[in-house]
Amino acid sequence: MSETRSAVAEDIVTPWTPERMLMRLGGDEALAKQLAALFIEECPLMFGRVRESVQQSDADVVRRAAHAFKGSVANFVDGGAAATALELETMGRDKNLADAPKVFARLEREIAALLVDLRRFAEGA
Amino acid sequence: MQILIADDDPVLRHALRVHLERWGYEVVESPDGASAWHALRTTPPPPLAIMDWNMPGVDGPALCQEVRETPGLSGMYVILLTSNSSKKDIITGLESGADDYIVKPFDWDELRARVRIGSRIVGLQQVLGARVEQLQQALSSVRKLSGLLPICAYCKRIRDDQDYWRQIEHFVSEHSDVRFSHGVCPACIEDYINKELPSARVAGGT
Repeated sequence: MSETRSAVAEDIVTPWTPERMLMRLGGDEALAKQLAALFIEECPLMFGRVRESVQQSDADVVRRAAHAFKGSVANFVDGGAAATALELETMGRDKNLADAPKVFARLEREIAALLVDLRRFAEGA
Repeated sequence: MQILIADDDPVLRHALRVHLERWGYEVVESPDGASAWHALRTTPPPPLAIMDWNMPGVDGPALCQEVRETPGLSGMYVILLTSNSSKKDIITGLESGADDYIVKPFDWDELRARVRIGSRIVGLQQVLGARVEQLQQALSSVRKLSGLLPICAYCKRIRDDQDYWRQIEHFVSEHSDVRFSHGVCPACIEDYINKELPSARVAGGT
């Protein structure tokens, strides 16, 4: 996942905004930055599990990995990457992974874009 | 009050910890079902738990069932906090033994209010439990004194289980915590003491 929006996902607009997140946390900017930093740290592991599950093409593993990842992403956005992770989870539940690689590729771009935004926010830029 | 958070999402666990500690609770964290079960078996166990549904190892509803079936944990207040939002999921979660069910994403003020309800119920249960224990202790100290007692119509002695005629105060003392202090009532002073006093004086030479 790239560091800059323009390099990886210039067509992606994340639904995440600092204002919305702060509103959800009662204006607690310090906590919002802690959560963003924690997600940036944990994301490679959780996202890696989703990647592996899609590569294995095991519907149940895809469902569980996508569900866990969706939960963590949903701390920041309702739609966007969270909605895409839900698509993957649903594909796993329905045991229909035909479009899973395509949806995963979209999720990867959305997460890259979200991480760029979160890094910028967590670092106080 | 101590609260267990069982959720495999480290971001949400941190947010929950920060909020719960701000609200005055002590927090124990578990990233999966197995470590949550281990945390619940500590002594004393946390009286309130917030559990995710989907966790590695044991899931939330299975944990709820274990809690309800385990002596010493059955009074625990359990909140299921999950993104599983269908009516079927909610019914399944509550039937597994959860006391409350909150769907993600949730509002922090709502969570605070629901946790407060849980801690109030836990508090009431603790008061009730202490009162029941007090009553049981009181009950065990009161010996049995009930049923039909054979009593002599003249001297008022009571026949005990061994067929001995016992003085009423001895019998009552043995079957309760009652103790007697002896005295003489005005009618008996008149009927016995005043009548017997002259002959007693004569016998005593006074």
